[in-house]
Amino acid sequence: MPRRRNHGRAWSRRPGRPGGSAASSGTAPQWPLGAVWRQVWRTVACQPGFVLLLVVLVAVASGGLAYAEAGMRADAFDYQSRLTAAGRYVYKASARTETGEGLISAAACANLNYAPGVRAAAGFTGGQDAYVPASVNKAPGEYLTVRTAVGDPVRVIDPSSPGRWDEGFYIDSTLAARLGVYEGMNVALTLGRDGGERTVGAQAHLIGMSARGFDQSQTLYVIGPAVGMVAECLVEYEPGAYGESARQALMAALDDGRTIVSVAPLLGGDANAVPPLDQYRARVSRYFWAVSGVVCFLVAFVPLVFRRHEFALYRSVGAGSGPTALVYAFANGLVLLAGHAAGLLWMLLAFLWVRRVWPPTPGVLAGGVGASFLLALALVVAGCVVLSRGNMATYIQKRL
Amino acid sequence: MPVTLEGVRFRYAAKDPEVLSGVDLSIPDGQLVALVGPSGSGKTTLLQLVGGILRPTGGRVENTVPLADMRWVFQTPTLLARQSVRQNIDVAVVSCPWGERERRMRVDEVIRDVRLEGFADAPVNRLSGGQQQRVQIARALASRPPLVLADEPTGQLDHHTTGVVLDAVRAARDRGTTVVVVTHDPYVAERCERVVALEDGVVKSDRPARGNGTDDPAPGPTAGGNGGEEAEHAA
Repeated sequence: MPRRRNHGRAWSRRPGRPGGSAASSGTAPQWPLGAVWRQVWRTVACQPGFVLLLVVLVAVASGGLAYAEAGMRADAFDYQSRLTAAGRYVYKASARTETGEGLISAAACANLNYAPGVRAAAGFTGGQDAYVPASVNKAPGEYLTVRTAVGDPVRVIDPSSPGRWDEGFYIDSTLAARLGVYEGMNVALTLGRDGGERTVGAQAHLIGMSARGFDQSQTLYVIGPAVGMVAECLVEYEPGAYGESARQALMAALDDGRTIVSVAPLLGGDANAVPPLDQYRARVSRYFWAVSGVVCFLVAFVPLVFRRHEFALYRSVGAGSGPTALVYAFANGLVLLAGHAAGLLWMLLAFLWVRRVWPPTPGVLAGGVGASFLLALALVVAGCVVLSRGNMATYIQKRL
Repeated sequence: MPVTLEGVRFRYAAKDPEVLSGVDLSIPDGQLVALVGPSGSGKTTLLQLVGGILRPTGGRVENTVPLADMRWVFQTPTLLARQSVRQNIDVAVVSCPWGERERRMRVDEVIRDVRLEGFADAPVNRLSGGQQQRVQIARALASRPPLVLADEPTGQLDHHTTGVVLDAVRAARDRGTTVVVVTHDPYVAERCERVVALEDGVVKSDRPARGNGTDDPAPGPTAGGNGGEEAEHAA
């Protein structure tokens, strides 16, 4: 081993300066990875109660914040769904004569089903002849109306239904139940009155008409050819396509150069109100993973600050700063991993227990919990590196 | 691997008085040396210079032992409180080039040296202060370091525990470890091999200990130094 000479003035500019590379602190002996793991396990196992407490605290913090976020997501998605079902993204174009006959081309309206961004489009006839009195023979005394529609009225009336163009007629499920009509039933209908009645047989198709208020009148719908004129054209857009530009495009599509078509949202309310999904995207809790990560880091790391003498101990017995930092980083990493896993689990179970459904987009929520874990782990590693740095001489001198 | 100090001077700051004013000292391998002297005589400072913690402001220090290979014993023990005696000692031998079995044997050996066999698996925070100090000493000796520097290792111990500690230190010395002990206790000093007395920053005397490294201090010659004062041994 080379002889090391320390000449006072040659090495130090200020007297009393400790340590330093010239004092040849030597290379700290290497710790094999197995030894690091052994120390990690001992560090965790020697205080099981305290470790369990830390895991619980991390689980409460990460799971609690994730639960709040899941609740907000579920509420926003639910509200958005209800608004969508109610017709939030539906424009209603209207044009009719003084007597109520339609002035919108049925073909133009039906063709909107193929326009980009359109989910479904349907036209409804108008005028006195558009509402044909009817009754179901097996339920006399119930006065109904038959109205013809073009395009894809089923999806416009019942947003949860896939588009259908079946022969027969469409009736509200609740009304059908009252009349004793079931899906696919061949029903005898009497159309017209005051001497002009005629009886026809048609197959009944049941759909939900309450979402957009189509159940307010006892109306049966039949799908007719896209010819002639309609008084109303309802067009539902995908949420991302809905807006003023879509409204202008709709007006342009229905404009025949002679008729002024009025286009307005089907749902009333403030047209400038921020949609619930946009409100959701701008929510503060979208940073829950960052808050959770910082909180969990503090839970895991603050006790270490009160045990920083242990870092000095490792350094004073010859361990390098790397192995010293690794021991505590891994030990706290295990605590954070167990805590976040437990937090995710209890969040899912609690959500299922309280709301009876799984949270929406569980993968995204799990990703948020994972991001919280990674952030907390990165901060803990950085903290352990800071606590374990410094040369051995400094640690020893502080003890003397 | 001797430690040699030649004309070593030291002051902490430029305007401070000198703590050491020309110390000449040579410590051969495998010697058990006691540094004694009144408070403020520079014992701990000299220990830090020997260990390379401080650099002299004058003279030179030769020490071929890297800092990472030295072991230190402090007046108050610093231990991994909730880990066992065995685990606390094992930390010091992790990086030694021994197999698992040999490492365990060495740890058991030092536990026997400090007479803590019955407490090997007990958490150290359940031990008395004297027992904890024994653990710290065992940890310092377990890796068979070439040099051990101890600052008042028996300062807070009773007579019996002091004897146990000295036995362990002597056992390490017998295995080739050089030990330098700073102490106020004449009983401890006279049970080392050599006593170096400091006063006012200079070596006042440098002589063999009366016990010459054994339990029973026999009368021995008092070596000359600057002043030739003898250390008094306890009755």
